[in-house]
Amino acid sequence: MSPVVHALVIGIPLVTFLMGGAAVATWWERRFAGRMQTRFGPNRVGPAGLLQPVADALKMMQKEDIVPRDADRTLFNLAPLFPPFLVIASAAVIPFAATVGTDGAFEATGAVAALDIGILWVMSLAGLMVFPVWIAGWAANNKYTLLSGMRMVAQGISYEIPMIMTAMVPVIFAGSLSLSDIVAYQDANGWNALSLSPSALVGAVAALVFFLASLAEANRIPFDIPEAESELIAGVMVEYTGIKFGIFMLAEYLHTIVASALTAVLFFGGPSGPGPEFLGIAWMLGKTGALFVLIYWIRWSLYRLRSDQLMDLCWRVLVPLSLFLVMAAAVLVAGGFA
Amino acid sequence: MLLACATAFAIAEESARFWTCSILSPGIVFAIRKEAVIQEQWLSALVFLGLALAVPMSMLVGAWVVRVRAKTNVAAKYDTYECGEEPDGSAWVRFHPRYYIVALVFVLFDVEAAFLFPWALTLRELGTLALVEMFVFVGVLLIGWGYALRKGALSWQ
Repeated sequence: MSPVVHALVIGIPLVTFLMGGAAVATWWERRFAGRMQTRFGPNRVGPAGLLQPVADALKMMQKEDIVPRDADRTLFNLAPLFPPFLVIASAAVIPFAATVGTDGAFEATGAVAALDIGILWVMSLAGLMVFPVWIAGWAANNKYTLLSGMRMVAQGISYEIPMIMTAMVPVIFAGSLSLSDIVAYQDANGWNALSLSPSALVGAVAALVFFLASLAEANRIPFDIPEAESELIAGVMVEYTGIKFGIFMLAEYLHTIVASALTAVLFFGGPSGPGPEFLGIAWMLGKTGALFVLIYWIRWSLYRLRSDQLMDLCWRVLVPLSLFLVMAAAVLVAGGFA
Repeated sequence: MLLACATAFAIAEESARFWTCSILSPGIVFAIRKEAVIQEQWLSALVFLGLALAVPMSMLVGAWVVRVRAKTNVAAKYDTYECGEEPDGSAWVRFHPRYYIVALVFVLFDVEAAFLFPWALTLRELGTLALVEMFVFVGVLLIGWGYALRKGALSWQ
């Protein structure tokens, strides 16, 4: 199959799945939050409110487009293009299926592009996420968006460090930057975060730190300082109307899905699991879904941290801890324990 | 951000390697085939980038087609939002970002991550020596981290 056809044949279903998943997630999150707070959540549009995402999308599409007089028009209109672009693009390297070769060798497949530097690809795109948010925050010429953009940059660059460092732990174990190799290693030696080998001890803590850093990168409570609706209205999205606002919201849901999938691949074996190979996709979806539910469970259970607490947690606890984890993983590998 | 540069560099390097490989050593069929596989993956990734960009583009275009346009306008609609008050001056003012030094420390750690990746890949082959070296490297970095902490550079003022 030519690479272009390959990218389209796998890429279009993947994009459809991500978009559909994000749409369903908006409905599901509100239902879920409703249950947690003894209320109903959306239940009027369609059976059990299932058509709510469609109604929301239509509403946002047909809203009037307002650009504030004092805003920087070009940048203001340009910024919404990038968050969904970066998030979807980073999903390109995630393997979501399993194949077993004739020689019985496990292989994680199904990625749009099985790049041999898969993890660098994801981390690079994640690192670029601060730019569109900062552009949006500055271009609107609004004090709330400016503050939100500032916080976003501070939080984004700070939490990038523990995220990269803990992503290094599976890399050290597998000896490869390719996500397929990392999954294959876990299929042979047990999941990085959950197995009987001593490496799982390091892997489990690394998974926790990586998960927290992902929450911070995706602006989820307890790390949603940039949005902080009780103090900053809606963060960088204050001045956006209609579909541009919707695109930012969509990007957040996409980001959460991709972050869950990435955690599942790096620490919980991704598409690897007991059963025949066609169950690989089911395993991947199940693990991603479980982590996704966990993120929203946390979101509707906890308070948001204060800005300074957020930075303190990162620089005083997570950064040295992740460095320690990297060295512990290295000791295990060099000592022959993993 | 640094990693983004590193990846851009890796892409450039991959394609450079591919072309030198195919031009300089057409005899080594295997090498070319291997490079060609890598090249194909990058081409797939590139096509997917286009697909990813098409998503927000199509949403913006779709909204441009169906959205309503106001027939009459009031000036207040285009005011900057400030809780319903008249906006008080521009937001483009001198503003203390509060994380200048944090950003510097971030660059240090990001560079360190760039060093750690190749080390992590070859750790199994290089063994104990590489481990000891990285302990020294990380140790020096941690001393710097401790100094920044003592100086209060990492606390949000």
